[in-house]
Amino acid sequence: MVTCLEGLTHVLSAVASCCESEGYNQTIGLEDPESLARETVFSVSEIEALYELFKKISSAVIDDGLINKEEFQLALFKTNTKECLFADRVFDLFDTKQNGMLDFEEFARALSVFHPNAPLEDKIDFSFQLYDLKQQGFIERQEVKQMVVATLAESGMNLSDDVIESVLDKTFEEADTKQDGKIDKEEWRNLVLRHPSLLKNMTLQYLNDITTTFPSFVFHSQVDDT
Amino acid sequence: MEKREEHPVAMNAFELISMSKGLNLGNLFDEQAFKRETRFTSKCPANEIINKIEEAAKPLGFDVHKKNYKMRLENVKAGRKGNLNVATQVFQVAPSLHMVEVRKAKGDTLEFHKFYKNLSTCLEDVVWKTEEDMQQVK
Repeated sequence: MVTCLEGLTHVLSAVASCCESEGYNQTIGLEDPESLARETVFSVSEIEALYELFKKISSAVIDDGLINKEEFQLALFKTNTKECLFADRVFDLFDTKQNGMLDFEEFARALSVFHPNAPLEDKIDFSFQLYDLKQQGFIERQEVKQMVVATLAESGMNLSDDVIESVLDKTFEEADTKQDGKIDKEEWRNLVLRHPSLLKNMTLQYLNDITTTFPSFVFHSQVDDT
Repeated sequence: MEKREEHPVAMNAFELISMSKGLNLGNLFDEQAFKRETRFTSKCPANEIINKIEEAAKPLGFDVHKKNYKMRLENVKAGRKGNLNVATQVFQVAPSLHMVEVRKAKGDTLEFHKFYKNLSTCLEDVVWKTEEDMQQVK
């Protein structure tokens, strides 16, 4: 009975401290680069350089240390009037706290997946969630069609419905090995392992060079010179 | 006479989707200069595209290696970071529409940009839409 109560208090205090440091308060400013570096693929210098990028993006419309949807669109498209299915999806995945804003922690954690050194499994995971528009745990043919149509519309390429259907046919023929009209996580993994180029946009080479792109971090750095 | 596959690789729906601007976060980093690959679409037959690229690349001082619908273009002269090496591949989006990827495989990125600029001038009658066209805000 006593051990049970002890266990319970332990759990409760763990939950409380978790809420305090992570879930409920947005971290404004770069409080703890070392801990972020530990939890991501980035080095402390890279976290600091990334923070410079974050400051640039997050101050574009409202200077509040957070990236809202408009600022995200601005950074991606250089215009904030463009509605985009994909940008919405990406923003949504970055926004792990689901409050419509990205703080630096969410920004760094999400971008960590795009680092050349990030585990392949993370990239496979992220891309699957990206394309799973309705978040049902599988990618439906309708969802793929929606994304193909959106991509074509963006580039002003008009293809007939027949042609689009035939592209989908070929894709599902290859991907949908269980032949149930949907692509589940396992089928997705097999597909991208056969076609690594499908994960091309899940790696940003720029992240390798980020400390040279944003060298001003050196002046604010907490890293010792020794 | 080279034996060639009948058609270029059919473009997978996800391959197409992954080219969407909204899914290319490299744009967050702003610098156009860093881009190491680009693409254009063409309504010409795949064979014609391959030939035109070869015709354009040779006078620019590049050796051309072809295999089916993939090509390797190697600058005979070494540049700032060794010999510029460019890989191209033709994909079939639809029977009358092809997507051509042009990617820096080795060498200096700025030199790649210069090369691509020269190449696209020579390919004017092959190119239907450039990447810039494709990403124009409506």
